[in-house]
Amino acid sequence: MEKNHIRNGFNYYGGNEMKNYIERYIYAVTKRLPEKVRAEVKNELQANINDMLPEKPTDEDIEKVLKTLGHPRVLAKNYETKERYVISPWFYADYISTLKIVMTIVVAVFVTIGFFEAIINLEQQGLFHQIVDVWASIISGAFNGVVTAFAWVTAIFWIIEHAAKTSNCEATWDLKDLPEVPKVNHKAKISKTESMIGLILGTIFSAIFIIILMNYMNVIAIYDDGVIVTQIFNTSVTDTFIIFFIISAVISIAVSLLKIYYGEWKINLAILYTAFEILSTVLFLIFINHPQLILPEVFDTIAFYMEIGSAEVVAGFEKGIRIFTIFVSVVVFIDLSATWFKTLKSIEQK
Amino acid sequence: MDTNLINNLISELKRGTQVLAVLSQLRKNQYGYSLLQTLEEKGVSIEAGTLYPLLRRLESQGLLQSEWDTTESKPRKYYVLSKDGIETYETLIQEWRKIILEMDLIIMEETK
Repeated sequence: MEKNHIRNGFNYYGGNEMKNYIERYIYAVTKRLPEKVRAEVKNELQANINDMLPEKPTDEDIEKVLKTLGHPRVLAKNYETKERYVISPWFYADYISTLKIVMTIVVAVFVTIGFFEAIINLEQQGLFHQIVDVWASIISGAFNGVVTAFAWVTAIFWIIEHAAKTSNCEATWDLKDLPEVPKVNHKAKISKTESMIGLILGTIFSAIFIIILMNYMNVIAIYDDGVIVTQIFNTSVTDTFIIFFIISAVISIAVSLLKIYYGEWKINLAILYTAFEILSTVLFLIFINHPQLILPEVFDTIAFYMEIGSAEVVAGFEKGIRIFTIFVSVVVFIDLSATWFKTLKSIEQK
Repeated sequence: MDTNLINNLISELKRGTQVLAVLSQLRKNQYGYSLLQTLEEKGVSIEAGTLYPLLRRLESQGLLQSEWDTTESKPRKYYVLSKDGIETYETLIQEWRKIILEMDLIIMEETK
């Protein structure tokens, strides 16, 4: 009853369009307010605007008054009696740091899954198409990872926010709850960027290597005038290795993720890293040292072109492989020594 | 000197006094716009977009009472101090006097 009266008593003298602007302004404010106060605020605003306008307001008067009241968003915020947040400043810093960690991990996992899905479902088509497919899968994995991580972290913090609001934890904190200052050991630190780059490059190279192993062994060959003289690798050998290389790639990604997660060398990480490094190196060395890996025709062909005996070629090749094997072993040994040096140094300091 | 920063600091300083200024003028009935004008006449500048929501907030805190007057051609919502509001206002005034004394003391010591 009262409301009706108010509406009737509210007179406009400006043009229709300007009158419309007042209504639109009030709506822009009240729509941002809780439903139960909307009607009252609307009446108040109408009365106040009416008071601020002269007897016969022109369009300019109306514009001036609305501009004086300020942006509807700001006015609505001023009307808000309690602060409304999804993530309040109280939790914001924790939210952001959690989001960073979770996003890194989830994106990496999704990218990995996307990558292996693409590899497993590869269709017989050109290498270019296959690479595009793998990349598309990786990018969509990354995008899914970002969205998923963001949604979950935000939802969980939103729940924590509500729980904290009722438990009044601001008043009841304890000195014992303060986290320990982390002992940052710069020598034992693992650079996040380095690990990320390692992860991305490692994933891409394993992908290409496995794709070639699966589909392109028949084109890696010795050609003479565009005609295949002989295929180089023994497909029956390489096929048996594919599954091991895939497993190795999965473990490699997992280890990279752990490196990113821990951010420094710890004893369990170092053990895991060592185990993986040795296993993958051994796998690789077995692969290249496999006596039937290279087809005998390859040696014959080379011998034919170089005009020497096949036995000599085989001997030379075996010598090369042996030197390479020693070289790889030394590099891995140095890498592992450095890792353990850092790890033990950091344990000692603690 | 950064005038923007100074303006911000000044408006922050004034913000705390706004409630006091509003309460001081509401021993007698006033509607939003008349209060705005009264304050302006006395040199207290407060934005319309700040004052109107502030009145509502003070009312929800129980410091003000309101009533619609719909007998005139323009309907108006009148605000006045409640009993709680009067008491609160008097307490705040005491605090305010204390702040003035304390601040004066500190500033004078410094400038000596």
